[in-house]
Amino acid sequence: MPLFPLFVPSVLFVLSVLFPGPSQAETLDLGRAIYMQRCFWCHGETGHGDGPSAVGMFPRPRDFVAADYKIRSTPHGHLPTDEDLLRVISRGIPGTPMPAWVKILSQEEHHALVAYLKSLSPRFAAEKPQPLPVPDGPANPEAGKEVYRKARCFLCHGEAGRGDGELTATLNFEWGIPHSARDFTRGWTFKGGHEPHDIYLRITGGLNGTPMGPYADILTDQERWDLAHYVASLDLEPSATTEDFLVTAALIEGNLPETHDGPAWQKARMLTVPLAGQIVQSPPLRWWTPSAGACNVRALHNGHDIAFLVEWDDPTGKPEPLPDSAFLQFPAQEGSKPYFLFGDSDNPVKLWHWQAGNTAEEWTATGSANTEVRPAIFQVYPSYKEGRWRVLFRRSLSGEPSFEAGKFLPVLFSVRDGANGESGNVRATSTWLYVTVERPRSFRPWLLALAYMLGAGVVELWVLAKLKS
Amino acid sequence: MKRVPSVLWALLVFAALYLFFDRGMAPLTKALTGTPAPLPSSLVFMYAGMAAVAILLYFSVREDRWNNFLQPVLDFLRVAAPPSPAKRLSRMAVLILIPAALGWRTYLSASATPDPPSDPPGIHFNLPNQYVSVGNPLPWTEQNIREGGILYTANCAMCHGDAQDGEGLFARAGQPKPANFRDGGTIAQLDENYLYWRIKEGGPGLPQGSIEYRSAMPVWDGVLTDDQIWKIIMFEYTNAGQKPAKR
Ligand code: HEC
Ligand code: HEC
Ligand code: HEC
Repeated sequence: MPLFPLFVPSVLFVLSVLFPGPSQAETLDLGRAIYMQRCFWCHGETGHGDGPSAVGMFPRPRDFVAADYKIRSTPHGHLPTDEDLLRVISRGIPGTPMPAWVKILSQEEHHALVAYLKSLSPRFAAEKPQPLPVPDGPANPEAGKEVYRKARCFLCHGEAGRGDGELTATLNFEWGIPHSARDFTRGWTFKGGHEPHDIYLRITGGLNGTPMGPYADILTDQERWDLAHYVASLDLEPSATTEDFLVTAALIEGNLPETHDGPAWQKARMLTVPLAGQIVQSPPLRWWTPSAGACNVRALHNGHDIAFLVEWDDPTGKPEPLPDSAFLQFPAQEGSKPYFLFGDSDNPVKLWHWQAGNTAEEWTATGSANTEVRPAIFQVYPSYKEGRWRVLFRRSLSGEPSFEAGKFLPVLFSVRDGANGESGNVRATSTWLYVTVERPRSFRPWLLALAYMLGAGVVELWVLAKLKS
Repeated sequence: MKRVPSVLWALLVFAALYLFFDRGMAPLTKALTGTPAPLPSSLVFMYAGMAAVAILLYFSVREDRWNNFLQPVLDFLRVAAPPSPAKRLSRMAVLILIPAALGWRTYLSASATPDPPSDPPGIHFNLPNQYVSVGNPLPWTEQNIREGGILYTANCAMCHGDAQDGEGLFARAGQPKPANFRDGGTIAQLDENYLYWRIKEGGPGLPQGSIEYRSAMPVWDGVLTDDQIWKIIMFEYTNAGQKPAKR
C-alpha cells in the first residue's frame, strides 16, 4: 500500500506544531479589520448584504449570514469550500460590482477574510462542504448541443445562447425577477469562469438563489461534461478591449451587401466595442444598469459607399414599452473634436439614428439639449433574431462627414434597450473611437519603392565613379 | 588581435539604438509605469535620424578618428584591381542590398495603414488659478473618511473601481481609462485642491486641445456638495494607501 497519501498530511501536521501560524482569534481579527475597510460598504456591517452602498444594487451583495453562495464546486444548496471562497474573492465576479481583490490583498489577508466570512454563518460549523468530482475524459460538444436542446436550456438562455429565452423575458418583465440568464457568446461575463471545468460545476450544482438550478440529477456526468464544452464553444467573438479602437472599412468590389450574413462581411475585421451606461449627464439621467455591455462593429466600402454593421445582444426585440434604437455619431466639422456626449456648443456632431419600427433620422447636435432632426440621407437594414439586433447603416463615402483613405474620423456607438427603460440619454454608449477606410489597391507603393531604389543606385554609381578617378 | 573597424562599431551602435526606439520603449515604459507606451513610428524615425547624426559627429570631430572610420569603407569600395572573386562578390552584394533594403522599407511604409491619432496618455495639467488657494476645510477624521467612502462607492466606483484600481465595471468602455488611484502616478503626485478641481469640473473642465472631448469623467459640480467632494478626496487617499503630494 502506498504510504505517500499519509505522509504529506503528517509532515504538514508536524510542521504546524513546530511553526504555529497566527491563532484562530488573530486571524478572525485581521479578517474583520479588512472586512470593515474593504467589504462593509456593500456587504454591510453585520454581513447581511445591506451596506450603505448596496442601495439599488443588482445583483444584491451576498448576504453572508444566509450563506447562499453562487460560485461553488459543491452540490446545490451546499456551502462553498474554502478554495471556492478564496477564488471568488481574488477574481471578483465579472459583470457585477463585486471587485477582484487579487492585486490589492495579500494571500494571508484572503485567508483571514475567508475565516471571517465563515464565522458569520453558523452553518459553516455544522456542515462539511465536499467538492464535486469533475470528469476529465474526452467531451463531444456536438453531443452537448443535443443535450442543450433536450434539457431545455434554451428556455432561459435562448436558441443561440444569447440569454434571450422566453422564460427570461417572462421572469424579467412579467414577474419582476430581474435575473438575466447568461449570454454564452460573451465569455468574459461568466461569473464563475469560462473553462469547461467551471461551466460543468455551475451546471451540476446550479447557482444558489437564482433561477439557474442544478442538473446533477437530470443529466448524466458525461452529458453535463459534453454540455459544458458546447457552452464554452459558443464564445466566438473577440472580447471587448480598450486597446483597440480603430474600425477599418474593408474594400470590396461591386455592390455593398444589404443583408447581414453574406460572404462580404467575412472580409471585414470585427471589433467588439465595450459600452457603458451614460453617467456623465446630471442625475436623474445617469444610467448605471444598461442592458448592452458591448456591440460588434464591422465596416465595408466599395469606393462609392460605406456600410457599417452594428450588432448587439438584447433579450427582447419588442417595440414596447419603448423602442430599441442605435446611434452612430461623427463630428460635424472636419478636424473638430466635439465632446463625446452629443457634442458641444462650438463643435456640433452628426448622429445617424435608427429606431425600431424603422425610423431613420439624421441629427445635428450641439449638446444633449440641442438637437435638430432631419430626414436620413443614409439607409438602414435592421433585423432581430435570437436575441441579437443587427443594424446595417449605409451611405455614400462623400458628404458630411466624408470618409477618405488615410483619414481618421472619430466615431461613437450607442444603443438603447427600450424594455430596460432606456430612452433619451438613458442609454449604453462608447466614447470616441476612430474609423478609416481601406485604401484602394494602387501602384503607388511599388512606384515609390522603385524610385527610391533607382535613386540609391545612382548615388552608388556616382560614389564608385568618384573613387575610381 | 585585429581591431574591429570603426564602421562596424558605428553600425552596431546605430542598430542597437534603432531596436531600442522601435521595440524597447513598450516593455521599458510598461516596467516603469505599468502601461506600455511605444513610440509612434514617426518619432522612431526622427530619433533614429538623430542617432545617426550623433554617431557621425562623434567620428568626424577628430581627424584620425574620421580617417579610421572612412578608410575601411573606401578600401572596400575601391578594392584594388584585379579584385579577388570573393571580394568582388561581397562588394556586389552590399551595393545591391542597400537599395533593395531602402526599397523594401519604402514599400512597407507606403502600403501600411497609418496609426490612428493618439492622445497624450494620463498627463496632469496646470491647476486653474481660482483653485490655487483653495484648501480642504474638513479634518481627516475617521467619520469623514467613512462618509467619503459611502459616497465614493455610490458615485465613482463604477469607473474607478471599488478597489480604486481604475477597473470598475464601466472602465473598459472608454479611452482614456479611468485613473487608477493606487498607482503612484495619479493622485499621489497631486494635491487635494487639484483633485477638487478635477472632481468638480470633470472631463469638460480640462484645457482645450487635451483629452477634454473624450474623457468620461463626469462633472460633479451641482451633484455633490463641496463637503461631500472633500470627504471623497480624503477617502480616496486613505483607501488607496496614498498621501497628497504636499501633506
Ligand atoms: C461594491 C460592492 C462590493 C464590495 C466592496 C465587495 N463586494 Fe462582494 N459582492 C458584491 C456583490 C454585488 C456580490 C453578488 C454578485 C452576484 O450575486 O452575482 C458579491 C458577492 C460576494 C461573494 C459571494 C460569491 C458567491 O459565490 O456567491 C463573496 C464571497 C464576496 N462578495 C466577498 C467579498 C469580500 C471578501 C469583499 C471585501 C474584500 C467584498 N466582497 C467586497 C459586491 C461587493
Ligand atoms: C429558469 C431559467 C434557466 C434555465 C432553464 C437554465 N438557466 Fe442557466 N442561468 C440562468 C440564470 C438566471 C443565470 C444567471 C444567474 C446569475 O447571474 O446570478 C444562469 C447562469 C448560467 C451559467 C453561468 C455561470 C456563470 O459562471 O456565469 C451557465 C454556464 C448556465 N446558466 C448554463 C445552463 C445550462 C447548460 C442550462 C441547461 C441545462 C441552463 N443554464 C438552464 C437561468 C437558467
Ligand atoms: C464614467 C466614469 C467615471 C466616473 C463615474 C468617475 N470618473 Fe473620475 N475619471 C474617469 C476617467 C475616464 C478619468 C481619466 C480622464 C481624465 O482625467 O479626465 C478620470 C479621472 C479622475 C481624476 C483625475 C486623476 C488624475 O490623476 O488626474 C480624479 C481625481 C477622479 N477621476 C475622481 C473621481 C471621483 C471622486 C469620482 C466620483 C465622485 C469619479 N472620478 C467618477 C471616469 C470616471
